[in-house]
Amino acid sequence: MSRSLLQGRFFGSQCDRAPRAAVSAAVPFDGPILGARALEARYGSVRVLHGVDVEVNRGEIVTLLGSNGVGKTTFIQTVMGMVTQSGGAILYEGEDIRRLSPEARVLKGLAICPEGRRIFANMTVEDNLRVGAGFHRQAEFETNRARVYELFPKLKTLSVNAAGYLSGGEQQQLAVGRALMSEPKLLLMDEPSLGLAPKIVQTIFELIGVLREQGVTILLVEQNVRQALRIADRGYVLRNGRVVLAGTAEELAAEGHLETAYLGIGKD
Amino acid sequence: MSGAESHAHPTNDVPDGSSAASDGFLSSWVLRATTGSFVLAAILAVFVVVVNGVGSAVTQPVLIIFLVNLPVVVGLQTFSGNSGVISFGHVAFMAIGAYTAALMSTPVLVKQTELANAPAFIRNAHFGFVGSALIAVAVTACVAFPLGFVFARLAHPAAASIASLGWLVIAQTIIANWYSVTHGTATFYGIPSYTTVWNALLCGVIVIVAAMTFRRSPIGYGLRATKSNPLVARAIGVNMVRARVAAWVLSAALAAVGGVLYSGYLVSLAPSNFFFSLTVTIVVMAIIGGPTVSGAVVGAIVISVLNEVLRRVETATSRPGLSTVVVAAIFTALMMTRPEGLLGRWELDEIALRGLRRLILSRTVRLAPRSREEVDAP
Amino acid sequence: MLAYTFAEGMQQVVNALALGSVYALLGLGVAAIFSVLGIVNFAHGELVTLSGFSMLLFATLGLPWLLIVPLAILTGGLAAIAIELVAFRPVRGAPVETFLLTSLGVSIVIQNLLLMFVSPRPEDLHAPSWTDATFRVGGVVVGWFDVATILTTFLILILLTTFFRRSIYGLALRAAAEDFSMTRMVGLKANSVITLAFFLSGLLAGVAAFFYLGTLGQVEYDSGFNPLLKGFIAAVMGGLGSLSGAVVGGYVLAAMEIFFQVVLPSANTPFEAAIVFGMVILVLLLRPRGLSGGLSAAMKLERV
Repeated sequence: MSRSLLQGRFFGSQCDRAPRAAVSAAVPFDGPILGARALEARYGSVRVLHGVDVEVNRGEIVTLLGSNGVGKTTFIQTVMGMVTQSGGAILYEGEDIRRLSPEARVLKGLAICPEGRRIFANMTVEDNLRVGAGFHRQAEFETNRARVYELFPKLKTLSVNAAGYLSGGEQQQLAVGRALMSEPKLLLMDEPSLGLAPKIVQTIFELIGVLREQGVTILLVEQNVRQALRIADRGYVLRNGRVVLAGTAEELAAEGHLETAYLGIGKD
Repeated sequence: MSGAESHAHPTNDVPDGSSAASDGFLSSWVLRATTGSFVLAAILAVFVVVVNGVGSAVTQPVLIIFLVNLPVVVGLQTFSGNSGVISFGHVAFMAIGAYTAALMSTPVLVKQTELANAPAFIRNAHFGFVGSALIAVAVTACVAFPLGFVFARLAHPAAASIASLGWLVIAQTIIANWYSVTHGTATFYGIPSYTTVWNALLCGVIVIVAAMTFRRSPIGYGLRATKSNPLVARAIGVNMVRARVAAWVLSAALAAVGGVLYSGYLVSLAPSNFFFSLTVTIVVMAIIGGPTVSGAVVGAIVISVLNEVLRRVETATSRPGLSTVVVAAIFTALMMTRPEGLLGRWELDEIALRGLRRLILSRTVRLAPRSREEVDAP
Repeated sequence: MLAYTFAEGMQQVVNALALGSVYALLGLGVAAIFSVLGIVNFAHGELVTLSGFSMLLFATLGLPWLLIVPLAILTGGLAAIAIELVAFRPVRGAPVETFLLTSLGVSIVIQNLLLMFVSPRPEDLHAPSWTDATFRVGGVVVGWFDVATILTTFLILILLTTFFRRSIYGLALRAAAEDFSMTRMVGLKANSVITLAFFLSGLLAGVAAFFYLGTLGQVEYDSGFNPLLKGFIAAVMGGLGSLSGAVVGGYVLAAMEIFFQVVLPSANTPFEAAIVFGMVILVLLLRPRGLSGGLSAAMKLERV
C-alpha cells in the first residue's frame, strides 16, 4: 500500500469544491465538522441510543469504542440517516441534518465504510468505484480513481475483477476507495478491521493514518481498542447506548479499568 | 392471547397437534377454537337469518351467492392468512368441487345423453346432496395433497403466488378440455338445484368451525410462526412443509364446499366461470378483512354488499365496469394504508375480549409506567 | 404429424424467434422491477395496453408511424412512472405480498377505467401496411414484421447491456438490485433508481406492445393479461432477478409453445398452456434460481 504523500490536500479539502453545494459556502464553518447532541435513536419501538454526545473536529480521527451491542453501529447508521433519529440533534458543519436523506448527506460530504464492507460483489472493482462516485462526482471520476489506485496499487491490478472474488483485506481497501470517490469531508468507518487477519489489520490502520495525513476527517468505530487508540486523536466509550467515558486517546489508553469496566472484556 | 402460548410444552414436544390431547380433556386450544367458532358462526347465522327475513326476492340471490363464495373465501384465508402466501389458484379447487358434485348428483338419464363418453362409474353415479358434497370434498383434497408439497417448498412468496396462478391456468385448461367428463367449454347442464339458504348456511358454519379449529390448533400456530420468522419457527420444531401442506389441503377442501354449493345453485357449469375474475373477487374478499377467519367472513360480507350496491348504481347509470373500479380502488387504497386488513390480526372474539380487558383494567390498575426512565433503566 | 419440410421448419424457427423476442421484452420488463425492488408488478400488462391505446390515439390524430412508435414507447415509460408514484412509492418498505396486492388492484382499476372511458370492445390496431410485406428466402416465407421484431429486440439488448455496463444509471440499477440500502449510502438517490427501473420497464412494455399488438391487430381493455402472464413466465424461468435470464426465458417459452403447437395433435393444442405452466412450476421447484441463477441474488435484496 502506497504511503506516498500526494501533493496538496484533495480528499476532504478545506474549501468546498462542489459547485452544487446548496449550503452557503462563502465562509467555511470552523466548528466541529460533526456534532451529535443528546442523540437518540430507535429500531421500531426499541430505543438503542439514549442521548449520545460526540464531537468530531476537522482533520481529527475520533474513535468510538464499546463492546458488541452498545450502539456503535447504530450511531453511525443514525448519522448516515439510515436509522430513525428519535431525539437530539446531529449537526454537520453546524447545520442540523435531521431532515436530510442519506443520499443528501452523502452530497454534503459524508461517506461511509459500513460494517461488513458491503462492496457490490457482482460488479467489478472499477464499477464499485464508479458507483462510489454517485451521480455527482462522475466528472471527477478519472482523477479520483487514479488517486485511489495510488493509495491501493493492489486494487489497480484487480480493477476488472468481480469484487466478490477479492480477499477480505482487498475488499476493505475497495470499501474505503469507494467511499473516497465521493470526495468526502467526513469518513465514517464501522469496524474496518473486523474479520481480517492481524497482518491485514495492521495495514488497515496504517491506511487510516495515511488518510488523516491527506486531510480526511475520520470517525472510527472499533472493537480493536489498542490499535484504535494508537491511531486516534480522541475517543468515546459507549455502553448501553450512552457515552460513559470521553477523552483524548492518551487519556483513554492510560485509563486502567478501561477494558474490564467499560468494555466487558476480561473479568467483569 | 393466553391459551396455547402459555401452555408449557416439555422441550422435546413438537407443537404439531399430536401432543395436545394428552394435555387434558379440554386443552385450552380446543376450548378457544370452540369459542371462536361459536362466536363467529353465531354472527354469521344472525346475519343470514336477518337478511333472509328482511330481504326480498332481489336480495335472496345475493345472499345465496355470498354463502356460496364464503367457503372459498374462508378456505383461501386458511392457507394464505396462516402461511403468508397469497394463492391465486383456489378457485381451481372450487371448480373441481363443483364439477365433481355435479357429476355425482346429476340424474343418470341426463348424464347418459350429455356425457355419453364418460366412464361408467360416473355416468351411473347418483348421490344426494350430502353424498355428492362428501365425494367432491374428498376428490379435491386428494388432488390438493400432492400439489401441496409443491407449494410448500416454494420459499419466496412471489414465486409461490405466480405458481398458484399457474395452477389456476392448468386446472382451467384440464377442465375445459376433458370433454368426456366435464363437457368441455360448453355448459354442463342439468344439475339438481339442491342449494338452499339453509344448507348453505350450515356449510358456512361447518367451514368456519374447520378454519377456526385449524387456526387455533398447534399446527395453525406453528404455520403462522413461519410467516413471521421461518428460522425461529424451525428451531422450535415447526415442520413448515407439513404445516403448509395441511393448510393447503384443508383450504382446498373448504373451497370445494363452495364449489358444491355453486353447482347446486347455478345448476349449470362452465370452466370460464372459474377463472380470473372470480379469483380476484375471492382474493379481495379474503384479504380485505384481514388474515383471520373473522376477517374472511367480514370481508366477504362487506364486498358482497358493496358489490351489490355498486352494481345497482352501475346499471342505473349504465356504466359497466364501475363497480369493479370502485371495489378495486378501495381495495388498493386499503392495502396501501392498512395492509393487515379491516380487522387486523385478531379474531372477533379476541378483539372483544381485549376491549373488555382494557375496559376493566383501566378502571382498576394503572397500566403504564409513569415515565421513560422506568422503561430505560438498565 | 412430423411431416415437416425444411422450409416449414425454418418458418417455425422464425416464428419462434419473433415470438421469443416479444416474450423476452415482456420478461425483461417484469425482471427489471423485480431485480431492483424484489416485487412483482401485476400492472405490467396494463403498460402494454396503455401503450397500445396510445398508438391508436396517435394514429387517429394522423401522426406518421415513424412518430407514433417512439411516442407509444415513451407513453409506456411515463405510465410506469405514474403508476410508481401513485401505487408504489407511498407504500415503500411494505412487505412483498402487499405490493402483489396493490399492483393487482391498480391493474384492475386501470383495466376498468379503460373499459368505462375508452372502449368496451376490441379496437382495431393496424400496423402500417409495409409491415405485412414478406419476402422469400429459399422457399421460406418470412414476414418483415417478424424480422423487425427480432432485430429490434437484438438492438435493445445491446443497448441495455451497454447501459448497464457503462452508464452510471445502469450501474446504479445493478447496485440497487444487489444491495439497495448500500446504494443509498453511496449517495445514489433511492427514488431516482426506482423511478428509473419503472421507466425502463415501461419502455420495454411499449416496445413489446408495438410488436405484440401489431401482430394481434387489435387492442382492448384487458389486452394486457396475456402479455403479463408471458412476462411472468419468461422472468420466472430465467430466475426472477436475472435480466439475462428473462431474455433466455422468453425464447425458451416461445420455443416450447411453437414446439407443442407443432407436435401435439390439434385437438390437444389448448393443453399447451397447461404444459407450459407445469414446466414453470417444475423450474421453480427444482431450480429456484431459474435457468440463469438470479433468484438467489434477488432474495438477498434489502428493501428501503
